[in-house]
Amino acid sequence: MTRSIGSDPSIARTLLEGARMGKSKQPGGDAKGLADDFRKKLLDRRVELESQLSTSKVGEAAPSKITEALQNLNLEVKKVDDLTESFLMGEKDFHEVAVQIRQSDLALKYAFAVRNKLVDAYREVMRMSV
Amino acid sequence: MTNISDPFRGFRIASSGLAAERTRINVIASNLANAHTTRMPGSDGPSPYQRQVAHFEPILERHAGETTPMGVRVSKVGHDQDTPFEEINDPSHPDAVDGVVRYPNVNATKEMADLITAMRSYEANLKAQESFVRMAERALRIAR
Amino acid sequence: MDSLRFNDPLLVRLLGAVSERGNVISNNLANANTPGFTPDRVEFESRLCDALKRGESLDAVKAETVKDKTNPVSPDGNSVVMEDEMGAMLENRMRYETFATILEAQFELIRSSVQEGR
Repeated sequence: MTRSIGSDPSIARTLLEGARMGKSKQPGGDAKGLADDFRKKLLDRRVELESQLSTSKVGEAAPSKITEALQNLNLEVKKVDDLTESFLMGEKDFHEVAVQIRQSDLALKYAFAVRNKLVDAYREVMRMSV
Repeated sequence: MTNISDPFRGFRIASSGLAAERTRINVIASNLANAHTTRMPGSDGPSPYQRQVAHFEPILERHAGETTPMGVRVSKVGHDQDTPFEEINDPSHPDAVDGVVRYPNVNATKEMADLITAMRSYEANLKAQESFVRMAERALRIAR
Repeated sequence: MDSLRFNDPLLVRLLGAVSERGNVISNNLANANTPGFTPDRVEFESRLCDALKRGESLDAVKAETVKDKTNPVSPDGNSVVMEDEMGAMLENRMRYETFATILEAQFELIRSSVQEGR
């Protein structure tokens, strides 16, 4: 009977499991019924993984890290916006202007790095569930 | 009044030095040119040119209780009243009074020495300006 | 993000002090022929060294501009030695270059770690 369905071991396993526990969906253990059963199992597993992703600890940490990076970025961008005025008012010397520019640039790079890491992690997970 | 915490302060200071030394050089040039002037233009009788002196004083800007040095300025171009005129016995001279001609109280050698000092200072202030610009450029390069 | 903030205010203060010293040297040169003028000095690095030797915190050390009364005084009261000031100016430029380079290196390290060496 295994050979007539095909050589996919997971389907065979489902079949044997069903036969052992007497859980055939249709009387007589119809092959289509077992395949449907298997597909349903896969879909359930995927839904399970997706819900895990949105509620897991990693999922919780991710939004807060990005928010933190973005808030910091906003602060740094504002400082760069204010630089011209600060310099005109004599509040900042040349090296202070340069340091502020570098700092804000780093904040931007950091925000991007966090975002990229999260996108990569999401993609990784999505690849796994299929 | 300029802002006390002016990022360009060093440059302005050097510029003030250039301006002051320039005035001094002009004064010395005038002294040298008039070293033998026994009658000033527009005067009725003999009137020897009187040596001119550029007086320097530091520029100090006061702001909210703090005094910030801002270079140097020529407070005035005055006359040298202390050095006497040179008196030469020369009755045939048109500007002789009782056979004596009064010449300007200008010592050419001293003027030349002062001129060299002024020029050295002028060059030094130029270097200071250049140094300022280089430092500012170096600072801004940090942002690259 | 705290660990990624550029975190060396001492370097920024040093650059500020060296910059101010440049201004002071400029002023000394401008007044090289001013009667009664005594040159100024900016003290910072030496005070930092002293604090380090005594094991004290560097945050409390302040830069200060002081009069230099060690030079011989000429008849008109001026005690600026132009060669000293020119030398000090060159030395100061080198200090600025050094601190700026260290500062850039610190930023570069942070940048590299954020961009994972790319």
